[in-house]
Amino acid sequence: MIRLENVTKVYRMGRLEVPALQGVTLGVEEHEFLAIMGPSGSGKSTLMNIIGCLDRLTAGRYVLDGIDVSEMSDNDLAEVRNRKIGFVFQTFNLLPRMTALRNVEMPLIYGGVGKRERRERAMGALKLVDLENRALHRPNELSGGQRQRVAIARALVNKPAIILADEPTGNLDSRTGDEIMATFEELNDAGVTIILVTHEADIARCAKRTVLIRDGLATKDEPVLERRISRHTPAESSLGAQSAPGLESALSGERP
Amino acid sequence: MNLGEGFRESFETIRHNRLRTFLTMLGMNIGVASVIAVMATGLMGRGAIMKGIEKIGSSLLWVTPDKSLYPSEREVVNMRPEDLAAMEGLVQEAALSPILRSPFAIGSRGYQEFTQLYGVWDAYARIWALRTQAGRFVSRDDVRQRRRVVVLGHNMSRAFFPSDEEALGKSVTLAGKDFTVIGVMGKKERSPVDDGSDDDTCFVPYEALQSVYNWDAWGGPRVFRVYFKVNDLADLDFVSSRISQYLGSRYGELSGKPRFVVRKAESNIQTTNKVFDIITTVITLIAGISLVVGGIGIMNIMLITVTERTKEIGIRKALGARRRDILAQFLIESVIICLIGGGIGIILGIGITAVVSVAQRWEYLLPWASILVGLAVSLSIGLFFGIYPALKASRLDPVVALTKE
Repeated sequence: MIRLENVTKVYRMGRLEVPALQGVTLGVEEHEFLAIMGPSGSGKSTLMNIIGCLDRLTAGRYVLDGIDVSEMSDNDLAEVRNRKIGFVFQTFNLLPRMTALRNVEMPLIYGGVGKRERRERAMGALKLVDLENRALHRPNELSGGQRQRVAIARALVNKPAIILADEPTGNLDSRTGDEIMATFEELNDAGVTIILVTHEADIARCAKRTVLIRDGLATKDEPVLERRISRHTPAESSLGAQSAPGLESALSGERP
Repeated sequence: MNLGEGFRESFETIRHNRLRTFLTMLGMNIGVASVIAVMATGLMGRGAIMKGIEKIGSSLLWVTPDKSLYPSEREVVNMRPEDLAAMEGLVQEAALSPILRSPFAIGSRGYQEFTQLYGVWDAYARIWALRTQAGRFVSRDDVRQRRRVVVLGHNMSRAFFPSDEEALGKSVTLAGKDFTVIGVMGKKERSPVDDGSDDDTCFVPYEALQSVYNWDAWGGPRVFRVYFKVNDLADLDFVSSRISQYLGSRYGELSGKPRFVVRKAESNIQTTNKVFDIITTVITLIAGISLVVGGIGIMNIMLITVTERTKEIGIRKALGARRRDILAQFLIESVIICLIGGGIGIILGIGITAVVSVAQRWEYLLPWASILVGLAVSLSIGLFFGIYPALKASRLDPVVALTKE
């Protein structure tokens, strides 16, 4: 799904060259749940920006879902972001003037999906995160956890190859954070590939595999032996019983 | 993102920033309104002049001494009464009337008013397209027989008599003499080509006024000015040269120039038209400056908007917005602001035009062209002053934009 080969990134600050990534090689397979860890300044944000096609690498190669995106133009990268990547941010990054539904529709608008299909698919995504009854609320009328679930719905709506979550629980209390992590676990169980960027070891333990970034290098790459399961009981969850085809149909706007 | 979505988002943003948008639009409102008002006023003014030309005709000529040739007013040589008959015999192709103007007291039954008395011939009413609303105008016989008859001005009849009909046949005192009322003038319509009379003006036969006029300063009766109206425009130049010729042979030249000038209403109209053109152009340009100022205001507010919404732009880019999506979004926004502002300006401009037309009693002309110009200008300003902020927004680096708070 993701293939990073000896990726380096150097920032130019005037005459000074600051290396952020010094040759990262990393592979992520389909259905994986990977946590990228590292202290601040380690280069993990840079790595996330590159994986998310928000930034370009200086040298190396990056293949996403079979497409080499290393040398792509801005416009092509925008299209890759639109189709292949679903972002979940620490600060939710919802557009404040728009309803939850409209926020979720946003990637479909840029993807050129027609109005009717858009609405159906966005409603489907909101249903997956159990927020269909909040569809017409604006972000300031929603709790932090609800906002993040709207953001997750937005990330899911275009059926991306990967979900890229950057400190998704950073602005939430631990209980709400657990709920969000539970949602990710459920999505992963349903077949969604997830890359989680965090500096909290506790959160990283929800993933199946962790990669540690230190000084611009991927230093430690290991499976999580004792996985922390945030999910309480399957009955409480909307996704618990969903299988991969169920998720697929929910996002297509069809009734399962 | 398609155009419909772009418009929807722009309207939402504009609705969200109502006060700011309104203030930004004011510049456009005022600019477009003044451009339209100026264009329309010019159009209507010209229309009024053209109407005047049609009514009085370009067939009007008048003869006066060229006063610029004389060192002082007292030395000016004027025509004499006998010249009238001579000229009338010379130019069969035109109707003519002398004019003598003098303020007089007019009285009736112990009541007194002041009037501007015009001594004229019968052709005067035709030359100036004047009409009576009761009785008749001065006739050929009145002139020949030097009758003491008067056509009262519209207001004068009102001042002395309960109705126009009752005025007819009554007697009024002018310069100590009794004059019989033979007619009452209709309300004077103002026209750009005008003889200067108004609703207080009374008309009497030229000879009747001449007989009561104080000629002491001139050494006897004189004719200050004669109007001619040719029946066929083709005769205009012929009549004009015929008169010049006659007066030249009779009075000679002064320092190599004819003592009298024959003026054509037509050339006056052309001059007025030219002046009108220049004034309209200059004022339109000045109004245009306010449009530029309005445009700069819009650019300013769009730049602020882009800065304020940097984070939003970052989010949109992360979700897959291409450069042109962001460009279109902000460009549509500035164009909508300009079009709404321009639209309000057009309505204001039409309103101002209507007020001017009522105040000036000009025929109201809806200036379709100026509406199109207003819309086109608004659109261009929206595009011109919106393109830079929109480009700036579209070129933002998504990583930088996303990390901005």
